[in-house]
Amino acid sequence: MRDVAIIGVGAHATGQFAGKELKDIAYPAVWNAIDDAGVRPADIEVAYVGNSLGGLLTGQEGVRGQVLLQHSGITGIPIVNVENACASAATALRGAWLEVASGAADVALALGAEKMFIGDSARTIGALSGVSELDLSRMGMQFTTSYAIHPKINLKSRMAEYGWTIEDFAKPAVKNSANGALNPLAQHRRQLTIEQVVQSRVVVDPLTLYMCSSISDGAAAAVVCSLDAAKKFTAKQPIRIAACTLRSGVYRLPDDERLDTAATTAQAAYEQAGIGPEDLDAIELHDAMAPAELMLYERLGLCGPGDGPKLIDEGVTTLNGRLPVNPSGGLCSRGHPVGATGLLQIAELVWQMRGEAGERQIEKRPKVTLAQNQGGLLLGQDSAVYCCTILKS
Amino acid sequence: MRDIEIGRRGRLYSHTIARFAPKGFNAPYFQAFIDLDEGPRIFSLIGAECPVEDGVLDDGMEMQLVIEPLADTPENKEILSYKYVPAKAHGDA
Repeated sequence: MRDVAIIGVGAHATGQFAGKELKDIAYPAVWNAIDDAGVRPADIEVAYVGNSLGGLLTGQEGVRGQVLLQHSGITGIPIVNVENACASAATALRGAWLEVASGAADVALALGAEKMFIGDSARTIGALSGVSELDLSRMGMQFTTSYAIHPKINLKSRMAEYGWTIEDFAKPAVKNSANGALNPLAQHRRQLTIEQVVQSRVVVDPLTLYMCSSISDGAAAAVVCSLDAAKKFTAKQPIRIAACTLRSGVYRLPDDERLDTAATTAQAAYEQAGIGPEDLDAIELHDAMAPAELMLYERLGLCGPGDGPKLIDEGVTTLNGRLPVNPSGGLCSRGHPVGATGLLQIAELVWQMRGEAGERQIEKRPKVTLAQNQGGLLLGQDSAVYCCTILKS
Repeated sequence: MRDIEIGRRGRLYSHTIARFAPKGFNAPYFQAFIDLDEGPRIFSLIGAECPVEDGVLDDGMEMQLVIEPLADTPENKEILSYKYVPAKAHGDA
């Protein structure tokens, strides 16, 4: 396997864009990434395109990648469509990485794009339910419910087991809103307080509105090439993909003691990159519901059971803490256009590692970073898809 | 291969009240996970006989099966579903 570098990233701002179609959102992300990488469109030999809900919400059930890239001027090359729920974009990056790592291609493109805002929230939420196993969604199970009582997170039982409070659940939302307020690409740019988050309306007990990511349009793209060839295209510092792991949920009975799949996916990434969690300088993680960030601290090996809120109280994971988490604002502030999120995370980390993150730039420029992306829900008590990517400069 | 019958009884693993409903359901409504006596843990709604209020259900309590319409809505009233309610002392699902 060859070393692979990200040489260009691009994004479309995240938000609700009434006048824009999916292709209008994808196009700027593709071209920003191409310009950033210094490649010509003809240099791109293969592309992987992540999108989750476009079939149900736009009616374009098939060949979405070919349609999006044709409107971006990229045709003729192999284009692979990737649907892996909220982890579609990270899965697309993995495809591009493997193409170059294997030597099958020298330059590859990964794109994630999503159009969730169609002016009909019930339809969007209905479509989103379709990325859970039907046996769950047909009975009215939603993602919010899954975070509240599903065994994989079970925030209600954490309150009893860890003594976590509703204020603890609000802490990641407040921390990340401060980062999002500095991000011109973010959907929500308002600094929230604990009181505002706790007092916003209850969606599914104990989750309130400001703890939940919202309906969002957005896109992000990355151009990857072999590390050796990076200098040929750009004077910018190449960002090496040190690990990229993908796992699927496992079926668990109640007495199953095996580690959570978010944890095993991270461990596999640490092993592949030859590092441990103590070597990380920054993280973007999948806080689709803000309190999930507290559980993910444990799963990524950043703290012991129940210690998540302490990392925020002690300033460890704030923008200029020892290990900033979600400098972009995360899914709740930056936004969660589901099939784009994994590459929005990657773009943010690349900008941070190059010192290009503007007002939200982490002062001590990160050298080793991790993106954690997951999606879907299975009957067997796990999410469907888990991805971890480790980047090194 | 042989069929086995499961699911008449179990214990409430976790529950919440959803204050917002997708199309086809009426909020507020209970959502729950039930640990069946035979082993599997399943997602389920709670039978209509239970008033949707805090304090009605306790995690760990014994539950029993009921069969009733999935929801009292045009989309789901014709669909029969399994649900659970707190077990009656001498009751029989």
